[in-house]
Amino acid sequence: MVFSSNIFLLYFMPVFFLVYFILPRKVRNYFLLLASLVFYAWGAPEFIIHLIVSVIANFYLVRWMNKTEKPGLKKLLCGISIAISIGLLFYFKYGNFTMNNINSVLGWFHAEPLKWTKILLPIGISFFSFQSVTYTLDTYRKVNEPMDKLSDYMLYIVMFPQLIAGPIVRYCDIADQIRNRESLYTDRLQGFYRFVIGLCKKVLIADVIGFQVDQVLGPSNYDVLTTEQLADIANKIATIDSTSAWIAIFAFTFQIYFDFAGYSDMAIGLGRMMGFKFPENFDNPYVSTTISEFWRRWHQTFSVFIKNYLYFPLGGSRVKTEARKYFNLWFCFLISGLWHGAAWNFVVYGALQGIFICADKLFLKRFNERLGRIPSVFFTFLIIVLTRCFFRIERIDLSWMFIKRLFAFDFTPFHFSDNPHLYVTMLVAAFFSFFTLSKFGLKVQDKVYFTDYNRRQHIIAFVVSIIAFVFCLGALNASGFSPFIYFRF
Amino acid sequence: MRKFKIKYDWILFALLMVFLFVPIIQEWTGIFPVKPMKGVFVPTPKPEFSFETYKTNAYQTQIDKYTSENFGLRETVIKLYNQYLWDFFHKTHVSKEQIVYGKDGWLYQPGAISDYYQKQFRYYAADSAQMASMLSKEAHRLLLLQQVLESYGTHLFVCLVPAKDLIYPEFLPDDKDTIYEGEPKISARFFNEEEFTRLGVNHLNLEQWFLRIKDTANFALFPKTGMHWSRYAALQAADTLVRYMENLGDINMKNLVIGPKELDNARNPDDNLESLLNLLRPISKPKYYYAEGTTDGDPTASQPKMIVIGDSFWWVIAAQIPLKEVFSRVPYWYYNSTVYYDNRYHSVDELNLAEELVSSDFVVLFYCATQQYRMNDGFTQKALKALCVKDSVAVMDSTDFVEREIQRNIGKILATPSSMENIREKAALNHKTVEKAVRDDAKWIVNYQIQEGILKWPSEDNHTSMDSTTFIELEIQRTIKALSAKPEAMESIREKAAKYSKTVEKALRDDAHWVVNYKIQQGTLIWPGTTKDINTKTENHGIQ
Repeated sequence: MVFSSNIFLLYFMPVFFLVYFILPRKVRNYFLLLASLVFYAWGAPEFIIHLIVSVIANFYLVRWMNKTEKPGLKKLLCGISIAISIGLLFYFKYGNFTMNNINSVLGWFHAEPLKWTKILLPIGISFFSFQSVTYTLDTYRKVNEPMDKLSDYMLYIVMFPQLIAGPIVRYCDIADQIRNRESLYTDRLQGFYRFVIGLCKKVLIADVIGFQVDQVLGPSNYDVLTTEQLADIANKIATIDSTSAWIAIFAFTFQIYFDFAGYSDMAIGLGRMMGFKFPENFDNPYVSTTISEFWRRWHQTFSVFIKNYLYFPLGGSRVKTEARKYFNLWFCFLISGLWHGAAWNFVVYGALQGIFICADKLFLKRFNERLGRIPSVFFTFLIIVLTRCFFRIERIDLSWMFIKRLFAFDFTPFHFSDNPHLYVTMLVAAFFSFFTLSKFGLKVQDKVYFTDYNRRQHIIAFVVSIIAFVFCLGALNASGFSPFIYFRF
Repeated sequence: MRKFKIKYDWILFALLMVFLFVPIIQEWTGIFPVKPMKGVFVPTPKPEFSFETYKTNAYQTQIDKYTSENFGLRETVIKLYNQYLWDFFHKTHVSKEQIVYGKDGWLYQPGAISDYYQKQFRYYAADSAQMASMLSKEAHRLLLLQQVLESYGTHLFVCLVPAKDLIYPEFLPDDKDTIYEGEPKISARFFNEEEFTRLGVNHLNLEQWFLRIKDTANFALFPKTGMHWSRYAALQAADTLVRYMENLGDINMKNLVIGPKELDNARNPDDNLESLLNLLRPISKPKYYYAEGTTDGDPTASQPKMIVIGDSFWWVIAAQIPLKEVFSRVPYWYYNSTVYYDNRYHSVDELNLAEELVSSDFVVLFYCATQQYRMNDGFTQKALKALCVKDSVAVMDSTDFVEREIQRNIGKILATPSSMENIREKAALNHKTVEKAVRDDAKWIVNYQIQEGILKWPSEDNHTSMDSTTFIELEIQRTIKALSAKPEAMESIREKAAKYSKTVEKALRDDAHWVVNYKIQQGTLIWPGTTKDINTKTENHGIQ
C-alpha cells in the first residue's frame, strides 16, 4: 500500500486513526503493529512471512547476544543477526543483478549460463533491513538495551509510516517513544498538516513533473520494458534537442526531490499524529553550496546510517593515509549508489558522487567559497543535475548519450505555451527548492514545520489542509494511480 | 484559557475525523446528490477475493482501480481538479487523442489537427500513395455499386459532411506536433471530391457549401465545444440534402420548412466534447440559433425510403426534422454496424443486405471528413458481394485486410474484461492511452498470427475473398442449417442439450462448431479458391 493511493487515503487512514484513538493507550501499539502488518501484507503478500520470521529471529538473536558474556559468541551472534538482514537485502535486491553479471561473464567464455529464476523486489526492504541493522549494532555497542517485548521490536521494524521508504529511524532514537509517548490534539492536527504537505509535494508537483519526464525518458524502471520499447527510448534520447534534454533533466531533479521529500513528510506527519517524532530526512538540499553539504541535507537519515555503520567502521577519517581517507569516502558513496538500485548506472552515480565529495575536500569547496554563496549554490545544483542523468537513465550508454545531447547545443526555441502546467509546476518546485536561500524563507519554513501553532494558525492550516487534501484526491484520481520512485530502492 | 485551548484542538480534530470519513459515508449512503461523470469508459468490475489473486497482487491492483472509480464524492473531487487544470492551464487529463484543445476554449474532435494538416492517412495506410490507391479503389467500387443499384431503381450517393477543423481552422491550436509539419500529404475530403467528380459518383459536398457560406452566414456552423455541426446548420444541411435528393431521384419530396431563428443559450447545444472534460462549471459559450424544422405537408409529395450509412452527424439531423413525414422509412446504419430507426434489426449483420438495398429508393453514405478514411466501414464491398457482383476493383489489398483484422481483434479485446484489465495495466505502465494500448495489442496479435501462419492471407485471385473467421462462421452456419434439417441429428442434440444444461441453440452451434473443426483437422475443409487448408489455431488466437 502506498500513501498516495485511494485505499490508503480513503479507507486505511480514517479507519486506522479512528480505531487507534478510541483504543486505550495500552493496546495502541498492538493495534499499530497489526495495522502495519496489514499495510505491508497488502503490498507484498509473498514477503510478509519472510519479514516476520526474520524479525523474530533477529529479536531473539539480539537478546541472546545481549545476555551472553562471551565476547566471541556476542560477536558471532551480532554477525549472524546482521547477516540475516543484509543477506535478505542482498538476495532480494541484488540477486538478479549479480546473476545477470555472472552470466554475462560466463557468456564471454562461452560457458553455459547459470539457471536463476528472477525474483521480485519486496517493497521497503532497503529500509527495514537497515533499521534492523541499527537495532543489532546499537544493542551490540550498548547504546541501548534491547526491547523486552517482541511486539515492540516488531513494531519498530514494521511501523507503517516509515516501513516503505523511511525515514530510516535509528533504534536509539525511537526506543523510548515506542514504550511511552504522548499524542496531543495539536500533534495530531499538525501531523495531519505535515502529511498533507507531503501529499501535495508528491501529487501536485512530483507526479505532474514525473509524467512529463517519463514522456521523454521512458518509465523509470527499464526492466519492465520490451526490446522495442527500449529501442524507442534510445531513439528518443539520441534525437532529443538540447532544450528538451535540459528541461527533462531539470524536471527530474525536482521530481525526485519532491517525490521523496513528500513521502518523508507524509511519514513524519503520520508518525506525529500518533505521537512519534521521526527524524527529519531533508533540509533544503538544493540550497547546498557544496556536494558534501548536499549529502548532509539530502536523505539525512540514510547519510547518518552510512556514516555510523559503514564510514566509521571503515576507519572514517582517522586513518593512516590521506589516500585511505578518500577511498573510505568514495567507497561509502559507491555503496550508497548501489543501494539506490541494483544496476550499473547507480554504481556510476555513487562513484561520481564519491569523486565530487573527494574533490570537495581537495579543492572544490575552496573554489565554491571563492565563488560566493549564490553562485556556488547554482554550481552545486548543476553538478547534481548532471549526475542525475546516471540516476534516471538506467543504462550507462544511454545516460552518456543523453549527456552528449545536453551539450550538443542544438537548442530549439522554448515556448511556455507548449506545456504551461509543467513549466508552472517546475517554477513552483524551483521556488520552494530555493526558498530558504533567504532569511524570510527560513523563517516561513520554521513557522510552518517546526513551530507549535496557535489557534488562528490552526484554523487556517486546518482549512488549507482540507482543501489541499481534496485537491490531491482529485489529482490522483483524475490522472490515475502513481507509484513512488523510491519504492524500488 | 487552558480549557478553551483544549476545546478548539479537540473540535478541529473531531472535524478532521469526520472529514476523513465523508467519502466512506457518501459511498455507503449517497447522502449528497452528485452528478455522474460524463464520457464512456469501461468500468472496473468489483474483484472477487481469492488467495491466489491476493498472492499475485492482482486483487490489490484491481481493488485499487475499482475504488478509484467508486469512492464517495469521486465525481466532485475530479471535477474540482479538472476545473483547476482548465482554468489555469487550459487542459484536463482527457488525452489529446480524445480531444484537441483549441484556442479560446474551442474543442475539436480527435484527428482534427492531423486531418487539417493532411496527415490523418497515416492511421490507415503506410503512405499517401497507398492511401490514394485505397481511396481511389473505394471510389471505383462506389461507382460500380451506384450503377448496379441504379438498375434496381435505387439511388446511391455520398454526402461529404463537413468537419469542424476545415470550417473553423482559426481556433486550432498552434502547438502542433512536428509530425504535422512539412508538406500536406493527402486528405480524403479533397481526394474524394476530385475523384467522385472525375468518375461521376453521385455526391453532395456539404463541406464546400459550408465553406462558401461561412463568412456570410449569420449563425454558427459549429458550436464551440461540440464535435458536430450546430443544430441550425444541420437544419440547413437537411434542407439542402432533400433538394439534392429531389434532383437526383427526379421526384417531388416534402419541402422542409425552417421556422424563425431563435437565439438561445438555455437549450443545450452540441457540447459533447466539453462534457468529456467533466468540469464543475460549463465553458462560456455564445448563444446559438435554433429553429424548428417542419415540412410543407405537400400531400402529393413522395416519401422515399432512404438508408443512411454513416457517422454521428446524422443524429443531429435526425433530431431536427420530422423524419417520418419526409421519408417512408429511414433506417440508420451507424458506422455500418448498429441499426437505428428500424425495429426489425439491431445489427447490419442480421439483415439481408441485398434485399434492403434494392428495396430502398436512396442509399446515402454520410461520413464527415475525418471519417472518410474508413472506406465506408466495408459497406461497398459487402454490398457488391451481397448483390453477387464481381468486385472488379479487385479488391482487398493488404492494408485493408490487416486493418480489418486489427479492428476485429480490438472488438474482441474490448469485449473481454480480463484482457482489458491487462491492457489497462500495460497502458498505465507505458503511459499510453487505453485506446492506444488496445490497438497496439490488437496489432501485435495480428502480426503474430501473420508471422506464425495462423492468419491466412485472403487469396488474391478470389474476388469474394474472406478471412478465415468469416469462412469458418459461414461453414458453421451452413452446418447448423444442415443439422437442423435432420430430425435424428436434432433429437440427439436435444438430448445433449438436456444432459449438459444448455439451450438447444447452444448445443446445435457447439455441434456444428465441432463438425467444422473436425473437417479442418481432417483436411476436408478447403479454403475457397485455394487448395490450402485452414489451421485450427485460427479460433484460438487471443492475448497470449
